[in-house]
Amino acid sequence: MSSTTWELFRLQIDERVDLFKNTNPTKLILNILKYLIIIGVATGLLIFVFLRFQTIGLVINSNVFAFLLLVTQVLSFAIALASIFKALYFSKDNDLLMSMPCSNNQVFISKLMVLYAYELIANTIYTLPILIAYGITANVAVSPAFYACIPIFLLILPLLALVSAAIVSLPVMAVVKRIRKNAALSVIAILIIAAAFLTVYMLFATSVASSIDFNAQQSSILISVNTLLADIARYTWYFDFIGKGMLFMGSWWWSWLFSFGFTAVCLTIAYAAIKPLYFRLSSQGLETTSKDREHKKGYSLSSPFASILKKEFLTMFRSPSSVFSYTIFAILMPFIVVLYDILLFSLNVTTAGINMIVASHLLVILILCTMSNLMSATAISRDGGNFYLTKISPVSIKSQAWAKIIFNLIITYTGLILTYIATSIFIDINPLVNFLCILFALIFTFGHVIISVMLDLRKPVLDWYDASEIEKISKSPKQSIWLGLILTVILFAVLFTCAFFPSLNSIIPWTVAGAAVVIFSITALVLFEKKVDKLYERMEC
Amino acid sequence: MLKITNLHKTYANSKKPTLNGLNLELKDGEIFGFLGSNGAGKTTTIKCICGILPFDEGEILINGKDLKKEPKNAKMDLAYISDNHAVFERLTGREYVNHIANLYSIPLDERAERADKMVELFNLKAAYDRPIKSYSHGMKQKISVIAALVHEPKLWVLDEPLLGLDPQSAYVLKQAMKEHAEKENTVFFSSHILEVVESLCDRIGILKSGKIAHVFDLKEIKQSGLTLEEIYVKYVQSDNDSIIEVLKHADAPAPESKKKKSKFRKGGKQHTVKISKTKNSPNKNAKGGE
Repeated sequence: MSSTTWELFRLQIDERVDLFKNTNPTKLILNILKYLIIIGVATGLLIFVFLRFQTIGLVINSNVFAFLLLVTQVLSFAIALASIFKALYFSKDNDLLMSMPCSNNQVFISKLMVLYAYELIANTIYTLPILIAYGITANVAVSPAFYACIPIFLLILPLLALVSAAIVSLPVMAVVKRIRKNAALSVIAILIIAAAFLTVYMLFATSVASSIDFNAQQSSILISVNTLLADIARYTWYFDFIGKGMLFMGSWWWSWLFSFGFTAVCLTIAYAAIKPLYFRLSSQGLETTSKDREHKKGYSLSSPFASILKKEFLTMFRSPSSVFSYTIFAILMPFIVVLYDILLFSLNVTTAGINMIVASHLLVILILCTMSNLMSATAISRDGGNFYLTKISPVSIKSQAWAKIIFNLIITYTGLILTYIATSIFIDINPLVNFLCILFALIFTFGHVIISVMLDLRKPVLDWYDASEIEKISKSPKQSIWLGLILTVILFAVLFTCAFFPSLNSIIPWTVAGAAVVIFSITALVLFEKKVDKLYERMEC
Repeated sequence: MLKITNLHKTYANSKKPTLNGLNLELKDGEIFGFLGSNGAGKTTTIKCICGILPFDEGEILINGKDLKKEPKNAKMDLAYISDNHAVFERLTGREYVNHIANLYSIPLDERAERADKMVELFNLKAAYDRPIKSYSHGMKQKISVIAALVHEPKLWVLDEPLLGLDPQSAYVLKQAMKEHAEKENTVFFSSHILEVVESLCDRIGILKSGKIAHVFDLKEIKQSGLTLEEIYVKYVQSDNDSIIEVLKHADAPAPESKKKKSKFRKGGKQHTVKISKTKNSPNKNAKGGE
């Protein structure tokens, strides 16, 4: 490897972590200690879990080992796929690196090295505890050589995840390239993925609900699990080979040879396949060369408020990533709530249990509302360099802020209304209780959105390169989530706790919960009316 | 048109005031150039005028309306072009102009007439219905100009408007500024391109130590035989706050075109500036200063 490639690698690593920089040794030691503690605690927990599995009759054999490897590597694959898109195809530093006195190939290799380094670290953090815990608790003979070869396989495993993610990224990238130009197609794609995810979730949830009497069916479940693990091991032969190689079972030398050889072949194929695509994408500059569609419309007269609101919607619909991040929770809300309710309402419980289920029904709705309202916590920051347009326009900040608030309310309220309709149709829930839950959520959302906009107005982040940076830099989204979750937990606790006191009239908990959301929203509104002008005036951009 | 009285501004993270009692008055129908070295406070002044930045003390009147007391009314007579050409890039050019026109409640026929005329003039017709993010730097500047002028502002403020523009776009923008002023509106802009300032402006103001140090009538400068560049370089870089003192020590004009070296001190360091004199310079009494 040339020194230029190494320098490029270092440049990219230094941008993210202090690995090669002259850092404080104490800080470095503390960092290493932190990771060792995480790995240690995770190992301890896993040993406990594996021992619990053994006590209920699950055999921790080589099939389990192959399954564990599969799970960790599926996770690694997901991380690698995301990293490849971020660091390889959509990276903002491509232009900079390409302009340096180095060949494109060196840039490409350095990028792969960075991806591998991250994958190695992530993989080690969650795979090492599993391997150690397995070694200690396994029902099969584990020799000291197993521990000795862990570092070797920790180096190999991320390679396969990276390579397979690189190969998969090719068709995915082709699809992404096609649909990212069209917001409607993107939304359809998102809905298909969400529907697939929810179908799997529903299948799982209903099967769990039907087998909730675990004790009665323990033996048959265990037999099924063991058979399933054996089948998984048979079909995921690569991990079966690695597992047998690490455990030195059977013709282990053949397993080793196969593991290394297969990885090397995949690596070569992926390198050859992905290299041309990387060069094409990075040289094209994906963001600027895409031909934007014309939107032929005449001039139209609107009030300033309506125009700002319309601008918010147009801005969202022109960006698939915005459509996704702003609407995903509202779109998924009816599905998730209905599926959750199907699971819970199928349980055979007492009246107190019903109250608890209703409390958790409200809990799920409010959590989803909190997440859907999150866009308000970046409503001002999202304007970025355009914020001066807000300041120079002859429209009061209240009108401008209300347009942003209404924009968020329309999205979350749509989700809530659809949820109400869906739960009314599909769930056997008391209509009044269902109505009250949605009403509370509507009032909660009103207050939460207002407060979230104010949080952003208090400390907006206007200096960013890519809008995705806002949530990393700004504190408002975290504060908004915390605020929403705290109120959610309070409301949940009020309804949940009252389930234990049958003597209390059911009107009391609902009145307390209702009063809490109303007070919260009125407070938010009063604060907004009082403070918004001052917050806006002192803003410097 | 614009009257700034005793404007003070100190940034929250700074002890030194950026603007320290700035006074300025602009007339109707004039193009006013705003000069000053980097960090002198030009953009701060402009942002205060446009209501982007809050100020600590002073008064800004736009067409007689107090920016602090009646911001909405004051802003109705104002348009601003920033130095970064930031616009809502996901909107098309037409949508953006239409949005701005809505904010100023411009009737439909008026906005269509004004905007379409400018779109034609700026040769932007083909891209007008495409999202602005696909525009080049110059095209973004052009759409900013169209949006700024769609409500025919009494005061048009531009911060470094020619930055990064190609010659054709720069020419079109300069023409737009001239035409806007001809309609008895005021154009106020900052620039470091002194030739442009010299050719466009009726008056210029130089910002120094947080104040307008001097306002020149461009006609007077032309009569003095010195170029704006000469005056500016000498004045801004000298420790002397009095422009008259600096001009007193200006180099004597040479009968033939030639280059002289003028030396002067700033902060204990000696600077050398090459000054080019024109053939027909009438100011024969001006002296060079150190």
